[in-house]
Amino acid sequence: MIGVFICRCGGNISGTVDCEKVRDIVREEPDVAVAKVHSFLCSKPGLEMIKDAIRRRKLSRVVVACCSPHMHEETFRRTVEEAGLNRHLLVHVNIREQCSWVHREGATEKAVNLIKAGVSRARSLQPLEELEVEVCRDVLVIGGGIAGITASLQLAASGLNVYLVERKPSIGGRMAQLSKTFPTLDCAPCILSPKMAEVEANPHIRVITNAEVESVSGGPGDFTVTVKIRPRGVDPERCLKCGRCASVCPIEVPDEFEEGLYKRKAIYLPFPQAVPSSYAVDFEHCTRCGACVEACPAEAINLDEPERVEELRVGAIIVATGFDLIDLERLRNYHPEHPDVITSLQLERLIERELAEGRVLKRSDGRRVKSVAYILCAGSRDPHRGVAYCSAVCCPYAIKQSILLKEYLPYLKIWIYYTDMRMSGRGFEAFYAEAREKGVEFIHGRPGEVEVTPEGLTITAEDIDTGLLIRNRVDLIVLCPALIPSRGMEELASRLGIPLGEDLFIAPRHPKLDPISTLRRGIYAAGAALGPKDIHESVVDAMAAASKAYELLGEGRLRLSPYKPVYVGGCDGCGVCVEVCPLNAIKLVDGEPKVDLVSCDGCGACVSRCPRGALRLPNYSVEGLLREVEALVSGVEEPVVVGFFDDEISYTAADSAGTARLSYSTAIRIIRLPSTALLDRRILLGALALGADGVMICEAEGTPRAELTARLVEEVRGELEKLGVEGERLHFRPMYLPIYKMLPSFIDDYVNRVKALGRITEETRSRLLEGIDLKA
Amino acid sequence: MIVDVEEIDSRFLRRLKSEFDESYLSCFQCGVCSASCPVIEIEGRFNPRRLVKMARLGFKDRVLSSEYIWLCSMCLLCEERCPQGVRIPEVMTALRNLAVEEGYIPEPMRRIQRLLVESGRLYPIDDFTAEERAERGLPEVEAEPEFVKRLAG
Repeated sequence: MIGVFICRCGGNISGTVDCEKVRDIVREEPDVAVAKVHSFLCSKPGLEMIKDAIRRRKLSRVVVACCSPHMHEETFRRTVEEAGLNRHLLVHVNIREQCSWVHREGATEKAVNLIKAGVSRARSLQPLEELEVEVCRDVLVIGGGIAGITASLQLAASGLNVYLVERKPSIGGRMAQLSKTFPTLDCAPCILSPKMAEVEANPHIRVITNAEVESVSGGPGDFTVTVKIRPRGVDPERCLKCGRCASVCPIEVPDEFEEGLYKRKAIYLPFPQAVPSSYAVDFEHCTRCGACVEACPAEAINLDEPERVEELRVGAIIVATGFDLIDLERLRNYHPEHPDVITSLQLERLIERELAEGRVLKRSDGRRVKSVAYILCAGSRDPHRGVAYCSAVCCPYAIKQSILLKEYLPYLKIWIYYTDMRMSGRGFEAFYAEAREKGVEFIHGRPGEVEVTPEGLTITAEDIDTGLLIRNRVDLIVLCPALIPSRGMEELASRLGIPLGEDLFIAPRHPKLDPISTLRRGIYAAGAALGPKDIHESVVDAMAAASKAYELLGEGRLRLSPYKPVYVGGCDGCGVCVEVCPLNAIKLVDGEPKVDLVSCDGCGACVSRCPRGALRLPNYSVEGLLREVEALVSGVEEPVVVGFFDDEISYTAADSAGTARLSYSTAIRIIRLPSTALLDRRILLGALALGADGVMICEAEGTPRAELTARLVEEVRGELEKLGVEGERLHFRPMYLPIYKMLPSFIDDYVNRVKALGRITEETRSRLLEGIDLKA
Repeated sequence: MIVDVEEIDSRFLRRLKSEFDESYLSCFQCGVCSASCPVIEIEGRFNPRRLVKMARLGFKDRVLSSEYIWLCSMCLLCEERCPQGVRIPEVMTALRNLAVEEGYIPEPMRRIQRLLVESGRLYPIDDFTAEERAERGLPEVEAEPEFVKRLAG
């Protein structure tokens, strides 16, 4: 007894899909006992309606047709469970993102097919029990800036152990370089260093500096992470911070902490409050002369310290890698190479180092700076020479810096060139007013160029408010560069297996409702790894990420999806499953396959590749899938394409295309699979035999699954051609999320090609069917 | 002076969109074009930023009758620096084309057109120039190119 529940979604669906008509048609399907329409199925009354029907009509399966399962599948699973039905006896059909939002004409007919396929799937479902395993309660935090520090302290306070891995020789990150914070003018090092000291003293936190993540394997609750630790050359336990080593070191290099404005030695203390509180050797520049070794009274220096690789076992990972500044090379018209054209971060260092002594000096000739011009949006909101987005922190920090400068040097003339002033944070507006009252001048306009003249730097801009084109002469120009993801973000993301957004920051699971989870369970992000953020937001993120990690690991046990391969007998020990598993999650033990349930992500590669059919993925049988295909295309006259989309990337891309209200042909009907590695030749040939005229397979680009699937499609195309069927009837398209906007054109192009081929004849279909044993 | 919103011409807006790409719609009025413009140094009332905004708002008669749309020297410096990829010189060309359609042609432009129709050249090739060219081994050119006359007409 199947119940079908259709949602109008307050017009979002019923605006294009005639829900009542759909209900009247699917009500006639065999086994359908009840079909109902509701305006908001996910609302309490909607959910009560479902529960009521389950109890009163003794329903054994439920089909809901509404938004994407990525939105509400869990809501409905819980609902059927509350009514006494196993939560896996639910089918969630997507008639919003992949129907009503992308189609006009023909949306109703397509919705009918989608729901019929859902009903067919419902028939084949078996009740499943959630799996439970023990998890590792340790957490890896990548990045030791304010976000990583906050997350570590929060986790440690909840009793979880933390590995805090930092690339530089000290934690502290960008915040350690700042003078004061906006809009309260708290001294940045004064509020940061107590936190750093807490991290160092906390027995639950192990700080690993000079280290980077090399590889990640396993899954939520049980990741294995290898970390490469570059030698420090100084034993932090022994170092007395006396500085004798640095005083004898003959090598001087630009100090990165000082943004290159000052020099440091090749053995150095990263900054006074550094944690670990110890000198470090810069092996990139050290000549191994040994002077420091001789000078050190504590015998703390070892120039032959080797590089190490350490393996960590953790249950969750928090990525807090922060930001870098964009290279300003492309803004040639602002002369970033000129010594008196500096970045705002360099000015932070000048404020710390020089302003307290009552002056700021020109870098070119050492004379006092009497006028300063800020150029905001240097590389921001400028996709042609930088990044498309707003870097969010520049307006408030430019105002902060100008207030600080004015406080010490009231005679200083300060000009802020802006495109739009964005001061929306709490307390920011008063801060902006304060700057105006202190005499800071705001010029509404992007400067055209900076000219280097004998009289100094000249800057020309239109002040849009007055319409005047103003040529200005200043001693110092401060560029406010765009914030970009920390160097190496793309490599790290691919090691972690988490997708990035179009802007190359980490993509959140949901931008509003799950903003600090990545698309991979057990991996969270915090701070500027998620986009330009100030300290306040980074701290909030970090606390949230720590809380999410605790939610996952706190109990020490983890509930896992039951969609994992099950051994049904008949293994002959050939080992193909072990070979194809992209996650090393399956082994042969005593001649039988054994699945590591936490590592396994249920892609199904082992199931589809097993020559003996000895493995099954629950509720994804070949026959079940083909019945679903049959229902998807039943009654369609025109050429029709069935899509097999992997759940994580391609299906999400299709949802995103819907959310963006793009449109494409109704001729495609998408089946959501845990991954396309689950497909085998029987499914592909069977889909064509049972009514599809083309099959479009989409899988996450660059993944082992995509390779497996591409190879399968190639092989089956060959088989088709031998049978006299066009190979083009199968189409493989690797996908990645940022190109979701292209998906409609990929679909339409393929649909048009299939339309040109025309329908497959019944005679050909039966020939195709002959080669497939459905029951096996 | 108050400008009434009735002045906005929606047909003109559609024409503008079809005349060239829609890049001008992404203009966020930062002023980098006017700050880079060499024409402004000579004629302060020319302002590409303001013209783009007037055009997108749809003040057809004000924009098309403005002599300033003819002043752009097509040096492309604004286009090079525009953070939003607005092809300002193309906007100017489109506005000029629409202005001609509507009969807004400044007198100097008319004179130039007349010269082209009559002689096919802005600068006549006199005997002196012809001899100079011959001495320098340059090919002979038509004194009054017919195709130019046809185009200008």
